[in-house]
Parts: sequence; C-alpha cells; structure tokens
Amino acid sequence: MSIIEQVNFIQKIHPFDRLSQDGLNEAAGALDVVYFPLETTIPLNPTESAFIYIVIKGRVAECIGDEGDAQCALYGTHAQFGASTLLDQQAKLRYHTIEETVAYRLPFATFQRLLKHNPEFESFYFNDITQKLSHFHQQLQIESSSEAMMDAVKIAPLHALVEIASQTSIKHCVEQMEAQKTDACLVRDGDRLGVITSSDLLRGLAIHGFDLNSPVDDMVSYPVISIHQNDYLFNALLKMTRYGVDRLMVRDKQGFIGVLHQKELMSLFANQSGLVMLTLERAESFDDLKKVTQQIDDLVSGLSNKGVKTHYIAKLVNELHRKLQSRLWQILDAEGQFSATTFIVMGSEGRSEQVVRTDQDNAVIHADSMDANALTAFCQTYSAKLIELGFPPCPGGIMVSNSQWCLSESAFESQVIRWFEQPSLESFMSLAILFDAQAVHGDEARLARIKAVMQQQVQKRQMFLAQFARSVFQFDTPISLFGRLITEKDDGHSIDLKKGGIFPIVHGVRCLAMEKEIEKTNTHWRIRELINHNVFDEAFGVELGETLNFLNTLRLQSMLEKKARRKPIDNSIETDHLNHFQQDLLKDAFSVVHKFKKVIEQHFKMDGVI
Amino acid sequence: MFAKLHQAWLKKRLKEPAYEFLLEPAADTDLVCFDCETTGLDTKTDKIVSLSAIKIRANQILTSQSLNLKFKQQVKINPESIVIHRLRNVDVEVGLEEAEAIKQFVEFIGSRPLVGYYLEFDVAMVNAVIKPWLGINLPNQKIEVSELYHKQFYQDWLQPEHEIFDLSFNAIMQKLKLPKVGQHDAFNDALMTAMIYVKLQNLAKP
Repeated sequence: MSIIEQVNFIQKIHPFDRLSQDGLNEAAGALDVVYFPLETTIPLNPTESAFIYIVIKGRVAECIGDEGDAQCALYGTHAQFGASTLLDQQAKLRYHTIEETVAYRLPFATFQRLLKHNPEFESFYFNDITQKLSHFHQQLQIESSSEAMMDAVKIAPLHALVEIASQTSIKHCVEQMEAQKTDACLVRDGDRLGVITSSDLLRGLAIHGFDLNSPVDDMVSYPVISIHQNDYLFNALLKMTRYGVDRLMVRDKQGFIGVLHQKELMSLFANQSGLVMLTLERAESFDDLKKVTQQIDDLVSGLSNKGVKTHYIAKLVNELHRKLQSRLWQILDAEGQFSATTFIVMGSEGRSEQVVRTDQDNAVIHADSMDANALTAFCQTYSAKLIELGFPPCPGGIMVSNSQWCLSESAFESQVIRWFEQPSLESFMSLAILFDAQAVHGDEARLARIKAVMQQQVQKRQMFLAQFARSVFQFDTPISLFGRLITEKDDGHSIDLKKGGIFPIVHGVRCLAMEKEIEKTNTHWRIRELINHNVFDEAFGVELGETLNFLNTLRLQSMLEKKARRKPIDNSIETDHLNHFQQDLLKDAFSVVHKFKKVIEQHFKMDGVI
Repeated sequence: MFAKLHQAWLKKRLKEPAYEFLLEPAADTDLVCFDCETTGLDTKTDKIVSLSAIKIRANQILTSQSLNLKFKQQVKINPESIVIHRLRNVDVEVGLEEAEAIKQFVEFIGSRPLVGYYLEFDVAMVNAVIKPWLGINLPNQKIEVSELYHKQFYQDWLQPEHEIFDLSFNAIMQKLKLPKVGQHDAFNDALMTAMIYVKLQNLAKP
C-alpha cells in the first residue's frame, strides 16, 4: 500500500519501466528519500555510500576530474545518476546540487539484484549506443499496433514452387500448376531462369493462338524478380511496384523456395500503404496524382507513429515520390515528344532520404539532338505542376525549370568539368547533389555517363576530395568537451540536427563514397559498401548508421509535429521537449558524429587544409 | 528536579513493565514522523483507520523502513472521510486488531521524538488507545512542523493586520518549494511532513 507512490514514480522512469512487477516492488520498497541543501556534495562511492539516486525535485551537476570543476552533465527531475560511478569504478565523477534537491536513493545492493534478474533493465546500463538505439526502436514498435510491413517475407503465405523446363508443353504446365495450387512457375532454359504465370498462359492461348501442346518457351518473362525470405514484406511491395509484377519468387540461401503473390501481400498490409501504391498505379490524370500526395503524407505520419525506422519510411516514400514524378511526366508528355530525355532527382531525393517534402532538386539531361526550346517550355509546365502537387520549389533554383539544370548531355558534361575547374561553394554544392542523383524517368545510361565523367575528374585531381570534405567541419558538433549538449539560447533550447549531425555524416560518407567510386546513393547503403571496402570496421559503420537513423527520426518527428501545427518546417528540435532517455541518446549520437569527423579528418589528411 | 519526579510518577502509572523503554533515552538520534487517517475528527468517538510512521535520520527520510498499519474497524467508516483518504471499508477488512496495531506502533517509535503536522490530533488519537492499555499517554517529545515553520517565517512587522498567517499544509509545501507526492494518504502525508521537517532544519542552520 505505502509503496504504491514509489512504484508509480519509478515505473515512469526509463529503464525502471522495464522491471517486472516484482522488480518494481523490490525497488520501491528499498527507496529512501534524501534531502540535499544547495551546493552540497552528494556522497557516492562503492564503500559507504553505494546508492543510485533518482531526483524527485531539484538539479544536480555531474563533474569530472580530481578538482571536480569540469561539469559534464545535469540531472533534473526524474533523472537518475550514480550507476556509472558504481558500475564503472574508473569513472571519477562527483555530484553536487546546484539547486536544493529531494531525491530517492536506492541501495546499490538492491540495484545489483535487479540487474541480475531483469535482463531488459540490465541492458540499459551495459549496452553501447547501437544496442540502446535498437531497443529504442523496438520499444516504439512494441507500443505500436502490429505493423505487418516490418515483418519478414517468410511470415507471408507462399505458393508452392513449381519448376519446369522451357520446352514443357502448355498442357503439362497447367496440370502441374493445378496440382500444386499455384499460378506461377519457375522456368528453366539452360542457365537462364524465368517466370510464367497463369495470365501469360491465358494470353498465349486466347490471343496469340498457341495450342495446348506448344512449349511454354515464348511466353516466359525473364529475368526472375526475387526477394530473400528474411527481407521485409515492405521491400517486397516496393519490388513489385518498381518492376510492375504481381509475383515475386522467394529465395533462401540455397535457392528458390516459393512464390509470393501480391494478393496475399496486400491482405497482410490491409492498410493505406498498399492502397497508396495501387492508386498511384492507376492514376490517369493530374487530379488523380493530387490525391496520392495527400495519401503519402498520411502514410508517413502513420508509419512514424508506428515506430518504423525512418530509413525505411524514407525508402518507401522516395520510391512513391519517384513513381509519382515519373507518372506526372508520362501524363504531361502523353505523345512521347520528350522521350529522349532523362529526368533525375538529386540531393536528399536522390539518396532516398527525404521524407517530408521540403524542396525539389531535379534536372533533365536530354539527347544532344533534341529541340531545346520546346523542352524548356515543357519543363516550365512540369515544374509548375510538381509545385502544385506539393513539392516546394528549390530556393536555389536547382530544378528543371531553370535552364542551367535542363541541358543536353554534352552541355551537362562540360558544365561538370567547369565545376571542377572553377571550385567555389556553389560548384561544390552542385557536384555534391549531382553525385547523389538517381534517374527517375527515361534512359538511365545518360546519368551514368555524366557520373563517370565526374568520377574521372575526382580521380584525376588529388587534392579535390580533401577540399570537398571541408564542409564536414563547417558546423560545430553541438556537444561540449565533457559531453553536454550545446543548445541555442532560445525558449526551447533548440538544436539544429541537420547542421549538428545529419549533414556531417551525409557529406562525410559522400566524400568517402566518391573516393571509393561507390555507385550507391543512399547514405546507409554507402556506409554498408564502405564497410565492405574496409574503410570502417563493421561496429563503427553500424553505429554510424544507427546514429544517422536516430537523428533523422528525431527530425522527422519534430517536422511532423510542426507540420501538424502549421509552423514553418525546419531542421531544429527543442531539447526541452525530449525525455531524458532521448537526451542521453542525443548526447551519444553527437559523440559518434564527433568521432566520425575525426575519422574524416585523418582519412583525408586534412590537418594542413583547415 | 520536576522532570525526574514526573518520570518517576509515570513509571508508577505504567501498567506494562515491558514498555519501560518509553521512559528511557532513545538508543539513536532518529526522529519519527507519523500521520493517521481516521473515521472523523472527534478524538473521543472516532477511530484510526490507517497509520504511517517514517524514521528521519539527519537529512535522510527512511521510507524503506517505514511502518504502515491498517486498523480493522468495528463501525462503518464515515463516507465523508472515505472520500478524503480513499480507504473503503473493504480496504481495512484485512487490517490488524487495534491492540496489535498500536503495539507495533509503540515498539516502532520507542522513546524517539515525534514529528507531525497538527501532531496534537494524531497523538490524541493514538493516546485514546494507549492510555487504557499502558496507563499513560505517550511521553515522547513532540515536534510540531507548523510551529517550526511559524518560527522560521513569521515576522510580526511584515504580517498584514487582518490576514492570518497561512499555516495550511499546501501553503507550507508551496513556500518551501517541496514536491507534492501523490494521493492524500497516511504514508504520503507523513513523507511530506518529514520533508518539511528536514527542510526547515536545514533552513534553521546558520
């Protein structure tokens, strides 16, 4: 009865919220209340004063060093301290009140018993940031309703796998499919593998006049579009929309194991994410597309609340945006007058990292032979329509309506070379966003050739990357030498996440990717490739990726909130609105950014440059 | 001289020799803060429903060693009081017999000084049970936090003539900037009273 108060108090505090009911009762029963006047030292040592403290009211400063004068953290209401001193006896930390303080204190012996019996609780104190972050996401996911999207392909009902030779007759093929109750077969033609579906067979029989004894050979589509059984269901849906197929072959390490049908997949989703893709597929007019943008926005906030990692939301949304832009091009250019063009998206869109539409960075590369005047007029319309769909214009004018970004292939090439020859802030930025570009509509080879030109220039100019990487250090990491967050002096104590962490990671990774000639544009995939190239060890790469994900998640949440409150969307978050756990993670995240900057500095031997 | 006489007189009145420790100096320097919830405000007819006592050792409030008792009731609790302390009749069905509960309380406090808010009432409530049993009222030193508070903050020349110096529990908590803990019950009230005491002790230090 009497400890209800303490149980209520501590179960709201992370990681005590992970204790079992017994654990909570044990902890609550062992708590004492202690009072410290202003400017008193709080006794904390393994011998006489082995306690974990939880602040009920007041503020306590944590200091490091023998003198105890270098303040490195502050603990306010609901914050806890002491564990690091007692668990890691190396840590020379001192605590004193900077406001008079009332606190609960928990004997260390009880704390150790709790650690032993509650692995979830223990992990909070012993895991490094990577593990902590994944717990953070898991926790969000547990709190959310079950979102099938993040499940693995193997949980979906699969159709049996039927494999036939390409010379098999239609009749035999249908019989086999009927026997196995499936509507698609894997077809082997020597080394080549393809797929045949019931609709292919139907079309062949009814329209192309094959008879039942003719081989299936001519109706097979190549290659096989497949997905690994451990991949996310969400990626399966992406693959289906990207390749415009209804079925995916599912594989494991050894080979193919079954067929995933869109019908089954959709029944698992049974929510808006699938619907958006279908509406997009069926959009015939500009007005249809307009409805889709709204649905995409709803989808983003839905998924974000459900704790889906921002990296995946971004992938999904960017895939949808690209489909949308490509579809818009098709609708506006119904006659195919401008088919000898490649429409590319650059910067964050190219990296598949833009979740909330902040601005558009796009360009057109057209064949040298094309009539530039007609295309310019078309691009004006296209840009205007895109803005109408809710893609805000790029403040720097990096869009197709700007003639500088709507060029013939050869003009584009010479432009790129000019950027290298006349380095300036502007040309560096152009190169940066172009390096992230991806083709959305039209022949991808044009973009690939431009990128090859870029890559040649980079390899030719030894000093280029060291110069190019300088902007990684353009903004200070908002964390002090002793691990405190450095915030703006405004009301909410805000921090610019983009300047402070996201940009340095994205740009640093971009520089390394340029050096290693990595074609991937997404920062997470680039990091994966850099691990493969032994630029980072696995642990650091994963840590970097999780850090980026965390920063992006915080940014997304704050953007969505601002959007809902119709406030201008920017990259800052108010630290006052973060809970202690998030603040801790943010500190950890910025120290990873700090470490990464060091890596970049050493890698490009920049001591002399800065 | 008078104190000694009084002590001897009490000793004579004491019905249970096993409880002589109440009259001897305490073994430690702890204090005990306590609070009762009752069926009503009449010390003659109303009964204790629950009682919490918490030891105070210098700046530490030893909630982990607190005493929390519920008293079995002979008569139904007054509905108006139920609203205040939220102890329904079913909640005290599992309570101790009055005699057993009070015995535990007396053993818990020993001869330590008692701390409370309007302590007089709480002491009267427990004495109503103790007197018939031991033959004496609690001889412990009594520390009234509202009195300490008054001493600390009341300044004659500052007090407007027609206003009463606010000694309500909430006013004290606010003035001392102490955190409110949860629902009003014996334990929380005793805990907050203990906080008031500790804080006032610190303020009184030069």
